[in-house]
Amino acid sequence: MHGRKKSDLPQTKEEKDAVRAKISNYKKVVGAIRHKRATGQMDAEYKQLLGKLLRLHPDYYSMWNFRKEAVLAELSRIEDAHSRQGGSDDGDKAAEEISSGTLLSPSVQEQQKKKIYEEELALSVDCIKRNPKSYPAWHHHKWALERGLDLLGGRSALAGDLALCATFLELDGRNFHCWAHRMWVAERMGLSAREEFDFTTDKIKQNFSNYSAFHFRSKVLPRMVEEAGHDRWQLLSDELDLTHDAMFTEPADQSVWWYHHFLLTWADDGTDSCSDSERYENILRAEAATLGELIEVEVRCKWAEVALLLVSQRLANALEPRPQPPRAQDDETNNGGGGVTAAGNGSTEAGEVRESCRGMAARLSELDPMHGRFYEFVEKGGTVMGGQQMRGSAREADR
Amino acid sequence: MTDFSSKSNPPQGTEHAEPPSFFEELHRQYVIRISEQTDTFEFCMTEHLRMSGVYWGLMGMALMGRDLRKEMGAEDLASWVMRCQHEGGGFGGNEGHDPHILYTLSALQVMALLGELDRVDKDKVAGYVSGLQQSDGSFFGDEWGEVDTRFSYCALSSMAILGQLDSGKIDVKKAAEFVGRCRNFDGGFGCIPGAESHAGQIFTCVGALSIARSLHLVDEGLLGWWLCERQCDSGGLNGRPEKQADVCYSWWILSSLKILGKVDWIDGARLKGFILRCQDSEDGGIAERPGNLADIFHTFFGIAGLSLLGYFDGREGYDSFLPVDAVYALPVPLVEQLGLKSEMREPVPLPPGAT
Ligand SMILES: [Zn+2]
Repeated sequence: MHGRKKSDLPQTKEEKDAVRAKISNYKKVVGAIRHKRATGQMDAEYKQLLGKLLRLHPDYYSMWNFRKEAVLAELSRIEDAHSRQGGSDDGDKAAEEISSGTLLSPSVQEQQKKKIYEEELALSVDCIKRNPKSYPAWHHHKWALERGLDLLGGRSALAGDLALCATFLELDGRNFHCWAHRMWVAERMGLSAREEFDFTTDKIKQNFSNYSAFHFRSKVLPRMVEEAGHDRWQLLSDELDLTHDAMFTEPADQSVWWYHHFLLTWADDGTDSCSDSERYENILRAEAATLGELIEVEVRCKWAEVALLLVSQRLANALEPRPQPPRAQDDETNNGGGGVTAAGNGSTEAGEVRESCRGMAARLSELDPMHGRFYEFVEKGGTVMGGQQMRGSAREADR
Repeated sequence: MTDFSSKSNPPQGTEHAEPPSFFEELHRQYVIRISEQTDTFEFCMTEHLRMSGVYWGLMGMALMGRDLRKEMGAEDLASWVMRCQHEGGGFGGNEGHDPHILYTLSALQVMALLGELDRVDKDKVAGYVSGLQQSDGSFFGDEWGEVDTRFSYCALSSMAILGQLDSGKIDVKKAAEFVGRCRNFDGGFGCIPGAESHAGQIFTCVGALSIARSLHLVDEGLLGWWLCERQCDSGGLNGRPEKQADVCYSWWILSSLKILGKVDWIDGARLKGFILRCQDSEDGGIAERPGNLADIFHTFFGIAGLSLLGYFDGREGYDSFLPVDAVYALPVPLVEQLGLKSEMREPVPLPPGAT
């Protein structure tokens, strides 16, 4: 139970009476449903009662199950009527039965089944409107759509649902139930990486604070290279521009900073050759410069300072690859690491950058003491960039 | 909304006043009272999850060192739990409610707390749980096919409590791999592969991986950073970036950080203050945030959060309080007695001179 105040409790006699009436009405409906179920009366009234109750209380999961049972029973009644016809080898007789109404013609049967699924979609949408975070309502919606997809019109039904998701996301751009459902619909439709990418662009441009949109963008970005054939470095540069817009507009908002951090990890991941390494280093230097500008205009902007610290740490690592600092837990596996492979004058610069990192971490501990332990972790070489192994397993997992 | 307080401009308001003390006696009365008040609208609307409600209430009392058998009507409760079990082995959220993995775990936790686990036919329940596992390692919540990493946690924890984790009835490795596939760009986890990270979901995933001894699938530095950035100006923790703080995340996040050995990555004193300010000073119970209506869910998570923060350790008058286990969400002595195993990182000691 979230979002309720003590003052929402009934205070006056009238309010208390109203609540009592509400409870008694609710119990009556529950009782009627259970009675019908126990006595095997899965009729139209049964479904109507279930609809009424679920609209009042969309989280009552057993009632959704009862509803599914009733739907399946109804569908099989329709199919029975149809298969009796299909099984008959006397075509004339079947035609007669169809015209007399005891058998269903295929098209009538399809229409009836379609209507049943449409009712389920309408019910689940009503319930989602009442409680947009109701797990069973969302699941019922997907269940009905998936089962009835062909009857409901296949791709056009999915497109309708995609539009529905867009409407819900207008009301609450962070509803993770809706985003997850939308992801399923988009997959079923085979939406292109481009279409998915553009959707997140719209959401982010509407509101730089939409972390959910940044999350889905992180999923679709690799697909832009793999499926849509975009140039990785060009894409990266465009994405960094987008993050700069966001961070200069809302520097105190976390959303963009997590995405920015991800972008640089993604860049690092794609760095396989010498020319890639040079590009990556140049990007890091440019990012450091941009962050420096932001820090000048937004004094004491913690997120910019953290980003600068992490960019600098990345730069030092790129200039002077050193063995992964042992994670506290698995020192054994990290001993005997390859040693420092400093390259020429790179190492001098790397040393300077590392020195500046220590200063930045110390300053951050002062600016944001709540997270002092984290800055200390970074200062000691702890990594938040995922070791190669971690990233490798993440890439595998994405497939 | 910004997430850190600038020194030059200290936030005004109640956050920085001395927080109230812990209202132990009021909370004890609250838990007893709401288990007896069956005529309220709240009671009605939560009938489908009564099994979890009972678990939260018992846990609140257990952590406060109360004798559950004496104070909570253990005999009646255990019989009621057994009446919620179905033919197939699963438990419903209440009598006459369908079986579901969520309530199957709650039922096992309740029976464990009451010391009545022997009344449960373990093979039967394990059969129900293992029947829900899918070929990709994930778990259905029930026969209707919803998949969610919450169910992975429930399944693994249930099998451990049943003493059947390594019986071969479920594929533990595959279960862990599925959870690993739900990891995101921020180190967090979502309900299915591709879904957004959420602190509640992160607890179930990190907990599941801990039970499956697969913490290597967690990006510990990145996730620790993301989790500690859930702390807001109020000292409370939110569940996702740019959301409001809520007491229940004290549990979801602290337990995850505890498993990762990083509880000290958040400011414990300020979080304690936030939880204590969410107490109802008149009628007992803890609410999601100061001024809101208390409920049993947040009451348990508030107490469990204070426990993980060490609030009761060595404080006068709290000798009988029991610490909570971050993985199984049961009192530590009970976890030890049941022999439940999990993987947990050692905290890194503070540097000399740090406070
Ligand atoms: Zn909450």
